[in-house]
Amino acid sequence: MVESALEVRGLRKVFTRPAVDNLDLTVRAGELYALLGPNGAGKTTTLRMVAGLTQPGAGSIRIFGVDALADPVAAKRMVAWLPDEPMLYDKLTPMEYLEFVAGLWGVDARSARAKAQELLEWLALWEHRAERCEGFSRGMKQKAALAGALIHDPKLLMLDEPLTGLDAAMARQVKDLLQARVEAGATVILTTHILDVAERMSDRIGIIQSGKLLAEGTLDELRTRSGREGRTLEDVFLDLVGTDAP
Amino acid sequence: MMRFLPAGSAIWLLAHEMRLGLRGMGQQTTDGKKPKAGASQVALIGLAIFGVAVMAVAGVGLGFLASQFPLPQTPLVALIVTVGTVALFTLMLAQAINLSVQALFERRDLDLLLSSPLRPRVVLTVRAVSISLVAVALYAIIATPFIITASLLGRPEWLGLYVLLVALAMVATTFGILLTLALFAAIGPRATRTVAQILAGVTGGIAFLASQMWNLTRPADEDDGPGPLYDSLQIVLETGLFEAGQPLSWPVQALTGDLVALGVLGGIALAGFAAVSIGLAPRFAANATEAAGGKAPAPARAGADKPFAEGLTRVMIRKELRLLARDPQLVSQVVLRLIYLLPLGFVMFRDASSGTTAALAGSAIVVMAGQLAGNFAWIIISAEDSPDLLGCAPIDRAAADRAKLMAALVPTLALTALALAGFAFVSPLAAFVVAAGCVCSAASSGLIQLWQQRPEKRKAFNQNKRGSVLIGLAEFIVQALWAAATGMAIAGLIWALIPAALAVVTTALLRRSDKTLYARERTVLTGN
Repeated sequence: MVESALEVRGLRKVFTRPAVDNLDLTVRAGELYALLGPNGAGKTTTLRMVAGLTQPGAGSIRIFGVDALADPVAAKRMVAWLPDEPMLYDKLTPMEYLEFVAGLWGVDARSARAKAQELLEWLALWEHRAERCEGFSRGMKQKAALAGALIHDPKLLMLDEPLTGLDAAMARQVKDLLQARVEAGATVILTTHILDVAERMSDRIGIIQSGKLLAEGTLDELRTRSGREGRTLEDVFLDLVGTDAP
Repeated sequence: MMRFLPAGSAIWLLAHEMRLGLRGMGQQTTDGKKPKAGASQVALIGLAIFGVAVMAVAGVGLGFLASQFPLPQTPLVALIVTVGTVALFTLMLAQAINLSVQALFERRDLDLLLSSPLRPRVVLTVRAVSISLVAVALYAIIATPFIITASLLGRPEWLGLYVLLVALAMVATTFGILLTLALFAAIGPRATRTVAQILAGVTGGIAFLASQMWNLTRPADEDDGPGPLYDSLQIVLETGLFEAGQPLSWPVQALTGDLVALGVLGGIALAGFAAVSIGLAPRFAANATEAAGGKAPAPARAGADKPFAEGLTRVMIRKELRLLARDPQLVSQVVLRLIYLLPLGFVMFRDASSGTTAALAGSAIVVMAGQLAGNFAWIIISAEDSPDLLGCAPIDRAAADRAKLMAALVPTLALTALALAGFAFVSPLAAFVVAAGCVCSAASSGLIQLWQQRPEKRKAFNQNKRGSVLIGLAEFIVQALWAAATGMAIAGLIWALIPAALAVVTTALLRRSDKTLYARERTVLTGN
């Protein structure tokens, strides 16, 4: 039996209206899972609850078997969260930022330093390691934040719109990096409005609307379910969510 | 209202600016959220009503007096009015510099405006007018009950005060814009913002210090006469520079309805204002475009390859001190807030050899330590730049906050040590007591900020929006109690234990358990 990286059961969060409504979701270990949905569907709220940033109104979250609500610190050790707005400090350099993040996750200073160099070189930021992030382009900031997310080798990596604002070369670099992480055994959950990316990269896809899971499965399974054999994910998605385009 | 104005005209753009300004003020008072009828809201409204009532009554009373007794045109009165005018101008200039920097760097609509068919001259003129209006608004409102009362009771010449205020605001705006543009040309956009805002703070501080000149120069012993300031004033008056008709008497002449003086002052202000608006519009547009076109990369920092620190406490303190050290504008704001303690401290140090004054000087240092700690703790704890990063990290939040509190105490104690060193030079034994008072005051203020933390943006500090007014008041009371305890201890009074105990109890009353604190923080962060 394949181990679950993430198991969400009956998850609920109400702001002025239900943002997430009795959501059940299972992400298998070692897969790349794309969570899709129109704007305001509840994708980000769901991932924020998994990351421990938002308290659910009801339901349970298990990360590699650890109850994230009962033992959040143990759960957070295995998780990295990369929101669409990078969680950076403008006045720190990438190296200083990585030093801080490594300290938060309790990574040994010596190995963190080596890992930081490896990541920054891979992401073509090594030459900029001594410059403050405030002068960086959006893409460079996104890459610095991605390095922060990877410095503690998370077992579960969650990314919210990771390709927003990146040029083609940078987007390619990030996609390659995510594939490499999955091949190395990590689990990746990403949300995106770029359906081509989800179609090409993901092992399984979940489509969420109004806080509920509409459909879940591989692209072929979703095609079968929507009766659209051989069509693109975009066609399937629009069929399932109606006129609400991504 | 805007729909009735010709679109694209200067007056239409001014109406747009005013609308944004009013909404900005609304946002500042409600923090952009629906106001809640909490205790602090009620207290603020009560304070505002009380302040307006006091202002109105005082203004009407003074207006009545002004209607009965015409302003005498003597050189001494001319000197007083001119000095007051200069002090007011300095305060307006400080505000104009701040607003000019905001107009150039912080408003994000300049790209839109300058890429539209509007001429840059119109954009700069409108922005300059709105800076002047903001600079004059407070003083005009304060003066209105006085001016209206005096005018209605037979002294319409007091309406000239409005002209004087507007002229001052226009000159201040002219200098504010000129200074900002000159700094931009000399040191570039990155440093201009910091230097200009520090300059604004220093300028405001100078106005305050100037208002305290009498106290600063007064001899400690009254038998030594009225002091050097009085002697200097006598010499100035004897020069004849403040006789009627001399330029330095124009302000008082303007207030007595002299149309020539009013015309000259208004004309100079208008001419300077127009020259800057029209003449510097192209430079303003170029600078604004450059400032908006992206920040220049910060210079590379040495030591990028040094080893990483180990452990949460160390990395947290290192990170916070780096962020503070790289934000000189913020640190200068913290330090400049202490400028108001300087005259008090100066007078006390001067007389510190006497026991009573040593106690007062020690108390002032204790308040200073508390103020510094409270401000630094607010910046470091409440105004965390990346709360989500800490929220999703596998850390004990209480431990992280304790590390942050330690980081806040580092610059506090460094700055306090300077004052303590001076004090130790004058009164070595008492310095030990003051040092203990400083530690207690700083720790209490820091703990209050830790327990009452509420997520805010760092830039809110520059807008004087540092958390709840009631918490600020409680923090000040605790600092005052520690100051009282220190002063009494220096004087050798056992009663010092009473304010010390009250300070401990007040601080403890503001404590919140970790469970309450972090549950609340999570709710605030997610906007739920």
